[in-house]
Amino acid sequence: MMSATQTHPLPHTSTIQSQSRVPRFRFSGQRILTYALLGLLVVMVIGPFLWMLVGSFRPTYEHMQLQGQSLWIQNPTGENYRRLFAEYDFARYFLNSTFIALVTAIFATSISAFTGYSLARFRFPGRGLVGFLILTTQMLPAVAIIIPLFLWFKQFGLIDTYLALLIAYNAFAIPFSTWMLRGFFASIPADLEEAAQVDGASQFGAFLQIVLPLSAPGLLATAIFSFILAWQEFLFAVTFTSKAELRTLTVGIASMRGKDVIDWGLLNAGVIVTTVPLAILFVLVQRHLVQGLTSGAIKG
Amino acid sequence: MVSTAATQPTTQRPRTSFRQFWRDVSRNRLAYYFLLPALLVLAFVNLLPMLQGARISFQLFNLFRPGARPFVGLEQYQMLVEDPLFAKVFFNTWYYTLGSVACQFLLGLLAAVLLNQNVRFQGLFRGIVLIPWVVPGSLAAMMFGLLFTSAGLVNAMLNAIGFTQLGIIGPDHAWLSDTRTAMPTIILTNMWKGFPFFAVMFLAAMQTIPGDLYEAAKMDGASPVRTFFDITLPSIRPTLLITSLLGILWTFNSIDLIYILTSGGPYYATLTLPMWAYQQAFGRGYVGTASALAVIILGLMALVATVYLFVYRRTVQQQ
Repeated sequence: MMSATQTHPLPHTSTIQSQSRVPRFRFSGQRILTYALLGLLVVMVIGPFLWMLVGSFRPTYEHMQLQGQSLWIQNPTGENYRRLFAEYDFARYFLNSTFIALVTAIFATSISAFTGYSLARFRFPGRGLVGFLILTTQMLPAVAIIIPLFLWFKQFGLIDTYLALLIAYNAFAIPFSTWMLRGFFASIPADLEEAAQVDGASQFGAFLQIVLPLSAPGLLATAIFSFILAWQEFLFAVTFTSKAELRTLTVGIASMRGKDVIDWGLLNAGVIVTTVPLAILFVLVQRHLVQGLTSGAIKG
Repeated sequence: MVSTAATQPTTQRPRTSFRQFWRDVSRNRLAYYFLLPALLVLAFVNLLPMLQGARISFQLFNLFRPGARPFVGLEQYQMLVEDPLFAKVFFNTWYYTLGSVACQFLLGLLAAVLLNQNVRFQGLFRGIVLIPWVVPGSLAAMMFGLLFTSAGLVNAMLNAIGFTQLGIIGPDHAWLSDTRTAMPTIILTNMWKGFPFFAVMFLAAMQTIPGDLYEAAKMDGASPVRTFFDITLPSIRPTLLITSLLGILWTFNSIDLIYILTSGGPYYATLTLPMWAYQQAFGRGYVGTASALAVIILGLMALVATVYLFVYRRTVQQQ
């Protein structure tokens, strides 16, 4: 069994930064190489975004005649962005994605809080089996689930509803969230709850009043993880919805690819509008997320 | 990690240990209540659909022709395995999976080493390098689809450096429409999207390595390369293994990149088992055949998952 302290192998990123465990550079050649390679990585990551950003301001006729032409834009235009919201219901896609991701985050985190706590604190018969089941459901092939689920949802009239996606996304978010939260709960000393119980609180009361408030950062990290999971999803969304007003962002943008003519400018603008908010959100919360992800996935 | 309390009193008479078992159950009643919601969701959305899928795989079932669903036994399995396409798709699936995971592994390891160095703006570098991880796969696919069209940035750059004059590929090579370059392009896309996850896991593991080890190596005058191979790599070996196996499971099952970039084409060059199953079910309506494919996929995944769980358990026990 793991002790509570071992559950968090990764100290908070900010504390890592101040420590210098890595060997100091001995000669500047190594330093130059490090910066050069880091620069290359950054270019590799940011490059495609920059190309999309440039493309999103390029008028359609310039896209058409781009072949071998200059990479810069002759006549920059905001037309692509205007059309994104005028010709497509892009605001609606955005709201759909946000709504579905938010509800998934709230439900999956709430349900997983109970599951994670149960696995972290109790030594009950069947604990190993439950842990095993939750770990393996993460590995189920989506395609093995999506076909029967589609047939059932069709039977119950759930196709083209938010509910269909919410059910599916919760089922995917719960196993991972449980695993993450289990780690967070295990790192909270059990003495606090025991003290509360001595003072007359019930076990359930101690969980609500002591453990949950203390694990607020963990709960937030888990919720953000579920949010991103639901926000990214494409396959279930494209399979379970056909009406335009139910499209999520990922499906909405995919639907902009016409069969014959591809509207490059519009696609570029769509990609930028969809990814940039998410990337900014991510850079803001990255520390908590990384901490939770690694503690959950490696240590359980 | 089965509860030790239930297995402890082995020396006692069976009846007593049975009573002990029920005492453990009733004492931990709250634990079971807490598990109930999640287990219900998982049972209805994961477990039952899986069983239902297995049942459908024995039925002749067309989505577009509702009505009788005659039982045909293993006929659809036989049909699939005898299909000349099966071997090709099977090969494609591992080509895609292992190719992607290998690229993600190597780039992730390099990124982790770089991000573990003492450099200026370390936090910023970490944040930026991890961005692809949150970009939806379908959007990453669309971005790379645009980069790799005949008039895309990649060709423009290759033209600029004169690579296309070598005659290996044309100046307006359509990367995703050529059977030779379609899969490598998809793997490249997957590498971009997936390497940050590997980097994060490796970086986290590297940071648990005690600093004294590096101090000692430095005292002995070991070169950075030696230090990396003799200290860093052996220390994070369990993480390298677990992350790779997890990556294999996820990549094998993922469809969205292929769905957006090629839908399995050209000439089935990028068709993988899950993509094939999806197309059979939702493109042609052959739900029965698709379910049989899904069962085959499940079997393959069970093999990988067994290895994963074995490695996982050993790692947890070691710590």
